Amino acid sequence: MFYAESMARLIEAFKRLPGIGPKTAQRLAYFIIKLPKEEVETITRALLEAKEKITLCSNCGNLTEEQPCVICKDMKRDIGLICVVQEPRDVLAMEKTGEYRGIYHVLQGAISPIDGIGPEDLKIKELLARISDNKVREIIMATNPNVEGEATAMYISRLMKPLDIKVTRIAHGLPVGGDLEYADEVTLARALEGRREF
Amino acid sequence: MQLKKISLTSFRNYNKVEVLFDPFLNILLGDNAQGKTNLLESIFYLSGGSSNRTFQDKELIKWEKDSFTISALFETRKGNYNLQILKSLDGKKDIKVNGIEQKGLPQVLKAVVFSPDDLNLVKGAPSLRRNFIDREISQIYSLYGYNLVNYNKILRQRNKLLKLNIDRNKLMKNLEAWNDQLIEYGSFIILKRLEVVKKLAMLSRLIYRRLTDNQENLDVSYYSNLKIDKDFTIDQIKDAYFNTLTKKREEEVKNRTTLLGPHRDDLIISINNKQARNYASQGQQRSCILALKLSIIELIKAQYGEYPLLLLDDVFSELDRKRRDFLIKEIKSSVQTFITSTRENNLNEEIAYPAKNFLIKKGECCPISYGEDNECFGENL
Repeated sequence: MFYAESMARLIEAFKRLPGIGPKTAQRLAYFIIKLPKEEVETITRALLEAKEKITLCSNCGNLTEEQPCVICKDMKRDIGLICVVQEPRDVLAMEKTGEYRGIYHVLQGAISPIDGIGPEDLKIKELLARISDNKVREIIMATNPNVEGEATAMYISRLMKPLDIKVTRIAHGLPVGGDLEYADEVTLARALEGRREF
Repeated sequence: MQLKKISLTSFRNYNKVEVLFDPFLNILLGDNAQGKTNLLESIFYLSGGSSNRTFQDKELIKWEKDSFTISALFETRKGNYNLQILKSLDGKKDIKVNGIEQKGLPQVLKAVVFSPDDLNLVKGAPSLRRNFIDREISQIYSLYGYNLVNYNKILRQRNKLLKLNIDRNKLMKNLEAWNDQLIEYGSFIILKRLEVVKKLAMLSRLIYRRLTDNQENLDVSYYSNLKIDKDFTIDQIKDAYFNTLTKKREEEVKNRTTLLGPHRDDLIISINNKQARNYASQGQQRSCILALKLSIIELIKAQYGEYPLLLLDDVFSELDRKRRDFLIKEIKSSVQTFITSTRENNLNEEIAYPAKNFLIKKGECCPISYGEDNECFGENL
């Protein structure tokens, strides 16, 4: 046994975090031990407080402290426009654009039979309920551009078809500000497929 | 293109080795189990980022080591490259081109390998022929690999879905979510395969006729379980795919697996109008594979304007005199070639132009000059 028992437990705890291997876990543990007690208490409190206070918004599924979340409460937002994303962190990504003025719906994942995730495991029913409540004009599918995200978008768009609501998919394409010659072949081919008329 | 130098560290049975190659012909000599094929494998690895012998990269790491590196210096029409690949046991793969880190292996070096494993190509399972054609098309079209990877992902998801015990109605709805992508990626794969097989058929027919003194005719065609014609456009393939998929829906549900698509297709090879898979003799099979491999070299040349590297792994022992002579004649001075052989078959007498010979022994490789007894290992060999 190299470590004291409580030290070993701390390292094990850190190892459970994503992206943390044995070496980083060890470094973090030593760092924590060196910190003054008050600082450790601050960290512990922050962890517990976040865990206790943060819930999913009952309306959109985003992480929030209040019900409904600030985005859903915001009267200036266009409630006729719903952007469907996979994870709460995707909401953050969209919000960073500062351009989007609609509201969100977080699915909490994507369809993937291999991982045992079917449509019923996602917040799709909730999405349908929201649509019948409100006067929704358009659904923007902003799931990830991989096969699972595409399948999820496809599944939802098929559900929406009889409801006579416009369903759109965000575009795949070239990164802005880059040179054409530096784009990889796949991205370039996709961008070519999604070309628009002037 | 030309491979000038390769350095291996902890790769297969090599501890550390550096080899400078001849621009035309390199003959790797040595007894069995000394590392001849391993050296060829490392060259192949540079061309596609995977081995021709295994799907498990960790098998390539020397026993009791935790990573291997391959570095190579090579020249193509576009310029000089210094390529470095490091792969460790935990799956991490670092690729550097001219010292700059890259996300994926750039497809600059091309190689065609012919090894005894290929001898099953004609009579073996359809998957062998699909793998053969997939690998070669990936070298020719850079988008093919991406489409293939995604197609296989969708296939795995869809097959898993078909195996779940869920309500029929629900199953149909769920399947539809995957069908569009299945058709999208699958059709692209079929289109590219049709294109390449058409060219391959033409080239291999010519080579095969020369190989058999105009006695026999080789036909290669693409067989698809969708009703498609070899001149179909992408939209026609998609339509055919969609229609057949709709028709086979019940069967798929019953069999609980995806029955249609490029993963079920095959190459049909026939000699004098008889299916080679059933009727070809040992000799015909070898001629056929030889013709196919040589055609691929020409295809790559047509696409990129230069020949790929040719890796011949112990094939001379598998070919009779006539086919050996043919192959030797076909090895043009413009194709940098690497041949492995045991010492008994003396290739130097058959090959018209000078080759650089290497002796490989217990994971060491050193150049020897033909005709002299060489003592590079400190003992008389």
